[in-house]
Amino acid sequence: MTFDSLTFVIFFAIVLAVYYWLRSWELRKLFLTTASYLFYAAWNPPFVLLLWFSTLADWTIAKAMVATERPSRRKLLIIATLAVNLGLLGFFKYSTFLLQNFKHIAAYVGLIYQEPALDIVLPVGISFYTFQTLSYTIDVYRGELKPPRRFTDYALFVAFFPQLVAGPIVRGSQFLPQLLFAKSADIRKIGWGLVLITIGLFQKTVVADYVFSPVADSVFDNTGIMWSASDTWTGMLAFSGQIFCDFSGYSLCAIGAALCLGFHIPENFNSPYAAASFSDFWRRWHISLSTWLRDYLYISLGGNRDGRVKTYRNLILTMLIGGLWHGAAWGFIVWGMLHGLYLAMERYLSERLAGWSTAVSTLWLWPRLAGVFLVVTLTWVFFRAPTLGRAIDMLSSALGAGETVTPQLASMSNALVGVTLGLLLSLQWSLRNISIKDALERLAPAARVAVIAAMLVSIVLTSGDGRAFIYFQF
Amino acid sequence: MPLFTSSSECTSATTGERWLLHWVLGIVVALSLLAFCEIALRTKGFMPSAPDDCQLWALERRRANSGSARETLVLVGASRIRLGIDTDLMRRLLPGKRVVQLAILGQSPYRVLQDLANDKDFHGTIIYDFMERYEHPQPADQVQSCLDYYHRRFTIARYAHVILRNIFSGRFVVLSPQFDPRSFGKEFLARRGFPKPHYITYLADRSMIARPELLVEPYDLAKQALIFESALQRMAVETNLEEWLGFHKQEENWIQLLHNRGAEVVLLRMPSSGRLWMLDEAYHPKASYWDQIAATTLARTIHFKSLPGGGVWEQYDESHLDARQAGLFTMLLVQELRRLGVVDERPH
Repeated sequence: MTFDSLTFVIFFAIVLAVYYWLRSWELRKLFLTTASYLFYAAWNPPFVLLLWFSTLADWTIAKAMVATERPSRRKLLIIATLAVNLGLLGFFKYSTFLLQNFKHIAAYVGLIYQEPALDIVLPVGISFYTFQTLSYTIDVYRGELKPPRRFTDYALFVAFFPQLVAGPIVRGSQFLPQLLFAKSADIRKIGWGLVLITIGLFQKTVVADYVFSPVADSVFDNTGIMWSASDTWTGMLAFSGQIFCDFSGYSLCAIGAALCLGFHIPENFNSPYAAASFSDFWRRWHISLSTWLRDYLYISLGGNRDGRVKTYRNLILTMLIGGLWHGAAWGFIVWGMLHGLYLAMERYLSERLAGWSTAVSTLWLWPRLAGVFLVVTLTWVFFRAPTLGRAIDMLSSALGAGETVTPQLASMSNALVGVTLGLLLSLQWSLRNISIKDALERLAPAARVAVIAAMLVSIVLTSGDGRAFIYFQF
Repeated sequence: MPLFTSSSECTSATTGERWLLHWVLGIVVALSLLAFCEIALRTKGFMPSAPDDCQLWALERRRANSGSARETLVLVGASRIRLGIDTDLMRRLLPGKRVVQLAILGQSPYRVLQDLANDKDFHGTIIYDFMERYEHPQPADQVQSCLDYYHRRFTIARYAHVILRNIFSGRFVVLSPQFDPRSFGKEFLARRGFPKPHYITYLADRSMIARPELLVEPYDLAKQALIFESALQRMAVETNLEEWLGFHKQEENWIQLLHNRGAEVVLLRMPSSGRLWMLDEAYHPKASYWDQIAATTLARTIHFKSLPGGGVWEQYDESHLDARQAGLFTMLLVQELRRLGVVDERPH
């Protein structure tokens, strides 16, 4: 069930009505947990068992951790949670990839190995809820979080449907305290939540699916066509717009849906294409994942505590693993590694040129904004292209290395992508230091109503394709 | 640094309260605008049209399996059976029958027949749009996509979504895929005026209606005949009569499978006319192809030439029936199905 489906509209309306109709807080939480399992089961019922297993395993391990003082036993338990969670993720997500690569390595050394056809279906949202439950047990291990008294609270934390399948990745410390006190219906939250859902759906169905996706899909997937340099640029820019609007749209819907139920879940995007540096980009893009990687991976690897070289190594390794988290493909690994390299290089340069960069930072703001966006867009090619070879071909074509061919894309598609991306970037740059809520609140009430109505009309008129959210596959 | 949405807190109680009011007003304004668009488009002759996608196909495919054996009548084929059979009229003529439209545009339907044959839960009657030039292996990507969608991706949530979507789509012009703002704008710019409604309408049960009077320009029959002939020539080089019969043998095995479990297949040759019929006869003469199949197949057979008074059709593109003709053809077909005993003989 996706946020842009009619099924979700009905489901959400029923959930809201029943949730606020119930008087007892305990019953409400139980109802939300049941609704969340139904939401997940609507995709593939047997995989609810996997979600239950993951929930039960981490609950038991965390309880056992709290019950013991012995460091060796606690260490054993943290290893157990890592093995369970990463084992599940590894089996469902990386088995085929590992076997295929093993086959290539075997062939390289002269051995013949035929990998079995596993045909494993990836349970939707497994990467998200695995990281969520892992953060919970690691926080308990570190003594930063106390397990809740009730198992049902923990089960709701894991399965809470607005963020279950594609984040934001919520920490126990952010969500569990919200379950302690009953929430009454708050029309301020419901109103803003519904506006957020509307903005999210507009981003997803109109901007990502209707404007950007057809162009990006054509250029990236139609390998039989000789695309001109201008077509390739249009395709790459279209994907840059698509991935932001797709994922940010989903996150807004999740935040809005949670808010309607009285819950706050963390922000996931903050005008990322208005970033002035790569570290700034990662403070604004998929914030819940980047902070997760920082807190549980980068810091665990040593962070910046062991000297300059190890810091660079940790940055690259963290981003590489972050890339691999997105999927079992070399494109994701290269994409993550490149971002790691950018962060390491940026750190090196900022250490060397600290005084100089501060002096010229204001002057150089606009070129930096443009530069970061351009490099991020070029790097997305590895993320989106079906193969590494295709990514390299596209980059060569974009840089004019291929044959000169006539542009294939219709001028209207180019214009639509150009204008929409221009508007998107202007909006992000103007919202760089203020929230969208503050920006909307500055509008006259009639203008606000007009903006909401325009978004709703566009959603209705363009919601034909029903494309899946990109991050569902992760 | 303030975050993008600032969802964590509402800045002021009064503004916060107003968001709900503004959202409700936004809904009211949006619905009013959509209603205005709907009325304007209908006055210009636009008709609601349903999406033609694998989601809807999968919903119909699922319907094919429900109910008892004698209730289900499944239409398998391509554009000719979708335009040529008025499913609504068929339901009225055959009360109690569940008419399911599984035809897919422009593609050989043999994989759908194979899928139904291999599905042990299917026990209905198949009306198979038999077209001589489709009787050889050829790419059928759309058929395969829909089969994959049905077998691998048609989850409970998607099933519920299509059912809900069907309540709205096919009822409102503004929700029709044919009213796509991008193509509408493109056409508006090209014509420098309000676009004309399309002459094909897709219905929510996957049948289609052709209104050739809405064609902006007359059909280019000469050009179509040239394309058609070159395709037939290519096929003649690739497939001789023996190979053609060999291909049909495979279909015959599936028909056998269906018959073995009480299901039934009717091979139906839909009408063609003018140059296209002449080309059909030149490359696949009825006497050598159709008659040979009809004499040996386990399936019942109905050729449009053998329908009472149904041999000659004035078709707008020599290949498809328009809305009025579809009604007449459906009545003749139902009569023939009754005569053959495929459907119960009932006074109507």
